[in-house]
Amino acid sequence: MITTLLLACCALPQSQKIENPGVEFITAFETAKTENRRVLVIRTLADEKVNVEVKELFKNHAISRELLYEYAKLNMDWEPEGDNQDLLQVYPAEGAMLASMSLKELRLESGVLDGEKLLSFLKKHEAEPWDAIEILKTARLRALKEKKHLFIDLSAPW
Amino acid sequence: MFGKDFVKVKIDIERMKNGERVGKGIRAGKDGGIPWFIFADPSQPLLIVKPTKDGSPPAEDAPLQRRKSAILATADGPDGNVGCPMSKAERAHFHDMLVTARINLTDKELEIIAADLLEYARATIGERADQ
Repeated sequence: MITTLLLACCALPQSQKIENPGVEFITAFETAKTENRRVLVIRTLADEKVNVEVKELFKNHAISRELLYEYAKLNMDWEPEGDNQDLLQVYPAEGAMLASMSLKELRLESGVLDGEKLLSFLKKHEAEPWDAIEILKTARLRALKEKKHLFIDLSAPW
Repeated sequence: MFGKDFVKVKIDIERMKNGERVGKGIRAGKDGGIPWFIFADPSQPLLIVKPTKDGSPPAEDAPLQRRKSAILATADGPDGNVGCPMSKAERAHFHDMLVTARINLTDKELEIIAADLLEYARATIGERADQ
């Protein structure tokens, strides 16, 4: 966990400002770990117009569903510096950054943000699903070892 | 406190590979919505592959069925699924489940769990928690 936090922190530009970063980081990475998700660092920009555009894009049904199911979001305020124009960064629950996408990459020639491209990016980097049968087997072995019973909770992301 | 007697396992029926298959097997064909939960005895596997009617080898993704003898208690209460025990009757069923499935949890600890659940229910659904 500490390694992950350090890697994530090191990847951020100096100017990023985040309120109470410890809690937000820990929550996002813990969620990613326990629910087999990726962490999506969303660098919200100082430019309000761009922020509105990004928020509108995230309202797209397929994108919001993908974010709800597959990602733990981590918002950060920042201002672009030099070549560091990343808008989105994908991290595994533990380890180094897997992928990033800049705002420039996401713009169509017409100037609007490309929802299809964003969805494709998110789907490409989502975590491999866990196998429910294996999860049950592992839990059963642990319960036997610890002389406990099983509490099995059936749920879904929604 | 809950972890004293139970290993918690979450099965996401939508996102996990075999999630829906495992969910259907554990629910034994019942459909009462989710969340839903079950307490089980780990001394034997909860799920087995459902035998085919003609005795032929089952397919790799054949339906699963739950082993009744492994079930300690389920969230199927008298009035349906109590997967989110909020009302008085739902919490009572959950308490009964704990009484049935506990190993070392004491009556006092069960009272504490019940009090926590009541507090949560009141914060969530207000006065209806006491009905």
